[in-house]
Amino acid sequence: MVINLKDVSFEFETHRVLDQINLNISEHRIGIIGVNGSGKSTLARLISGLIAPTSGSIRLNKIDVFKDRKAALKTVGIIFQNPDHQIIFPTCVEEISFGLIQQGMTRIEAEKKSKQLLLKFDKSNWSDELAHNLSQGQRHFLCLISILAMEPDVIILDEPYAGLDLPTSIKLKNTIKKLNQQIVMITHDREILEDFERILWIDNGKIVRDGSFESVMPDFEKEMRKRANVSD
Amino acid sequence: MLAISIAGISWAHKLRVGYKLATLSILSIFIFYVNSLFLLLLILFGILLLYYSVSIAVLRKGILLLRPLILVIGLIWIFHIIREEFLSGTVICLRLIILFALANFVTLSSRLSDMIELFLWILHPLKLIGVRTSPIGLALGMVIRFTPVLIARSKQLLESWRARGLKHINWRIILPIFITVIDDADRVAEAIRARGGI
Amino acid sequence: MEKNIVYVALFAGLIAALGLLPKLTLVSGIPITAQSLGVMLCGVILGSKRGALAVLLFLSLVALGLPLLAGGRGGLGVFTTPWAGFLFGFPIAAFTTGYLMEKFRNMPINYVASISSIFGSIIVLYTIAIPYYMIAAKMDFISSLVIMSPFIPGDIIKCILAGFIANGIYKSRPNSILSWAQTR
Repeated sequence: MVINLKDVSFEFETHRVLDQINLNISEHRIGIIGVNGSGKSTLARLISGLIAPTSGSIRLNKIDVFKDRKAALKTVGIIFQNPDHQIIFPTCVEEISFGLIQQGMTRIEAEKKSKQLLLKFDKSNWSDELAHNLSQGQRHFLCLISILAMEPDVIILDEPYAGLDLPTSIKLKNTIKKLNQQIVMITHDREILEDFERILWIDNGKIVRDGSFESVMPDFEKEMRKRANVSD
Repeated sequence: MLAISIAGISWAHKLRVGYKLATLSILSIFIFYVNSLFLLLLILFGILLLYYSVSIAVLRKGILLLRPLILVIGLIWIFHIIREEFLSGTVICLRLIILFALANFVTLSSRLSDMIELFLWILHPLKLIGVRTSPIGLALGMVIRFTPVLIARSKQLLESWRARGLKHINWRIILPIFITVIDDADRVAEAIRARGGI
Repeated sequence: MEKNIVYVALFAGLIAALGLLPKLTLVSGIPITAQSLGVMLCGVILGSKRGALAVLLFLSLVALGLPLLAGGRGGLGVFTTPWAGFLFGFPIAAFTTGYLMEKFRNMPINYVASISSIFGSIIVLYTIAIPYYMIAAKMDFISSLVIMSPFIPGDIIKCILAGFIANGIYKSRPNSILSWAQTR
């Protein structure tokens, strides 16, 4: 999957959130790092087609994911930080089926596939379980399954490990490691980024550094320490 | 949250909200006794001048606020015309527009904080019959504080729907909105209790 | 006590937030506005007194000049229109809905919620709103009814949806249906 951004800018109420971003992404594992407010989440939303750029163009394998939502659903999936703000339906099987029904399956087909998927992850007992009653880590996992069901080529994750306890974090990491999809992840987690092929450092709406872990991280961490020492 | 009122230091802004509301109430009653079409049109024109005397921004917003009303009033006017009540129908419609414009004049020229202060002041007599008014102030503060949060939450859930769905977002989105708000409410209540309660 | 005040405040904010949602659809594209559904659910979930208070709090904010009614409307002006009967009737509708919810606890919540909503947000509400409209617009009963009638089917459907939503909330958070909570 080639993610292509050409001269992409995004403005929100006179504030330039992203400024002339040019990117060509085809690596398997890409990390996005940066401080809060740097434009990372906006970039994630642009790539997944939830918002349109104020100027410039975004194409995933030549698909305009903002305009062609039908193709977008097959191409890209996004998981947000807080699962509570993403889970829509009462039961797990309904939640997983939702995307499938939107993709054109009938309810029966969708529920069948959802149950198959739950079985594959050894979570068949979740089927009629209430989503809001699962533990935090389980809810995270449910969100992941809901996206995987739609079989996208690329999955975008916005800080998936924020606020998770250690065992849940480890479990999630292991699951994501095994995924075949192309992954674009916004994260601060050093251990995860170590295995990634390419790191994008975004600051103030611009790409400050773009390269391997070794070439980006040391300078990033130096800069973060510098900023921490500046008094408020 | 963004209120309808427009900031300013005009003569209208300087008047106390209580006096403006009292004047509004008296004028509202007075309007109902005006039967002359000509006089009503004059009054309406006068109100637009009133808006203008505050600022152009107020006049512009005042007209903007009037626009959706015209449709509603227009329907009423048509009904009256069908019943061959042109004069009385037009008089009624003009009165409604005047009332609406006058009421909005108070809203446009009064700061939210002043309105809240007046609101709490009006509630004072309730203390005499044993109603506790401090929870009301607290509740008012909480709504104002939390409504933007709730709006943001609803938008997040809408976005989550659009991430996996095609165009139409159906009514089912209301369920998680309520559940997340209920969870928030439980947490906020806990936080208040932890700090001494009400 | 804290729970009562927080729920009332947050639900008032919720009615506001629902007003800002884009039009939601029923199956296949028929649009509905969510705000009045919020008023119904205030009565269903919070009960009579809290439900009415939440709606009153919401209306107070509108009166104070915040554009919280669906469509970004607000301010004192909206209370002078012939449709203001609905605004004044909302707290009473919520109270009625909540009262019926409190009275009928041992039946499936789906039905109780829908029927309570029909009594509150249709029967009681329109009983207040129609005469108010007649007086304010100086129109006869039949004409007023004709003008209001397009909204009634949508409102009835919303009452049924309120039942489904209440059921969903009851399954996930039974303790939060305050109208059914055991009184201390």
